[in-house]
Amino acid sequence: MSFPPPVLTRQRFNIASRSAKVRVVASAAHEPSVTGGILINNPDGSLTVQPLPTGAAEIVLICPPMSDLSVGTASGRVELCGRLGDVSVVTASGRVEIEQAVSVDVRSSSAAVKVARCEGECRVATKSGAIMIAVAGKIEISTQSGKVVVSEVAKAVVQTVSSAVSICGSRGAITDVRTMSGRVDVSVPSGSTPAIDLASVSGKVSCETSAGSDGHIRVRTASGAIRITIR
Amino acid sequence: MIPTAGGAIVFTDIVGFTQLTDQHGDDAAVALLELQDSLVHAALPADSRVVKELGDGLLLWFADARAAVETSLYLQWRFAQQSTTGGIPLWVRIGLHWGNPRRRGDDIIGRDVNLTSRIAALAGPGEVLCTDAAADAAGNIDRVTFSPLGPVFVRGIVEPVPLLRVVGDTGDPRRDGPPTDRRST
Repeated sequence: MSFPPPVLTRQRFNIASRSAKVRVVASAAHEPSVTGGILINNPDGSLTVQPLPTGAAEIVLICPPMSDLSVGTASGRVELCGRLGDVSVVTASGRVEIEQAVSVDVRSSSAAVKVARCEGECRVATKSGAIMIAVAGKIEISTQSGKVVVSEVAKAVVQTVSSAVSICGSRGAITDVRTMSGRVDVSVPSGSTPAIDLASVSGKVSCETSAGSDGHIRVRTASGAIRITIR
Repeated sequence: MIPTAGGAIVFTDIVGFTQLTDQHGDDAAVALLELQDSLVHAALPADSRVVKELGDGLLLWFADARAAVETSLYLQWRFAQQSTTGGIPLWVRIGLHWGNPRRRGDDIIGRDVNLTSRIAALAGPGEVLCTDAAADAAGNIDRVTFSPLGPVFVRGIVEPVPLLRVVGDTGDPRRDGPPTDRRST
């Protein structure tokens, strides 16, 4: 007789802190615990981290790996370590760093955003902060003036107003970039021959690759230069 | 007693309008505003109105939260359609909230209006974000999902506000007809 595998539900945490730094560590070695705040059980089974009334410079949450997380701050920096589940962060200006998550949604006015690894969809919307994504399955980035650097991605959709965009596309990657004045650099692996669809109203367009069907690169700019290179 | 205007408040905001004006000139900017105006006016159902123009954005009011959600998604679909036909892209962010603003002549003012403006600022181009109050008031809508983004601090509002991303099915979210038509049948 066999038993069905246990159903593992992912724990969900909500953290709201105006100015304190929020640090979350996903660790198998610990039960959920928090310093600089209080853990409150919600009726839906999720947990809310409430800042201490006295205020603390930093809130540290230790949670199980693969926990889902929502963090809201005004100016507090957000640092997420270890492997997390679905993560959303909204901050006005606090810097955001995420080590690893299943999916990511970050919104900010001016924060710099750094994501080391996102297994699924990584969505970032900012006005001016620099955005750096190291590895992601699919990214969807929109920014007005923040520089965008993407190291390795299977599918990238990027919309900017004046930001410079640099993308290292994987073999077979789908890349779709639209900017008004930002310069766009896309590099592809040697031997890769993606379908190419580039258009700029007044920017210079250069492309080192031969066109094929190994992925797709589509770039539209008004005045930004477009450069496709082989690495 | 100051009269109130309980309902859904919607802000639209064109992304990068200042840069667009600088690059393409004032005439192109005016043309884009007129395009936004015409698309919005054509999409508005009964019991809704453009309260006022705010530079490159619009303040809208709806009596019905569901109509506000559906119209916002429909507008993003129309803006995206417009952007793919060439020319200058019409990238618009939309914020939505359900509240009880005060009426001042034809205008609406108050905390709920301010909050909606802040919510719109957090949206990316082509996105619709809303508060939990708006999602609760709208209820379940076919082919529309509300994805929680968590508690959000916005400038000028003391308490964090639960924020959601509104996602519609691909294609025309109002392919069964605008909300007014559906209500009348």
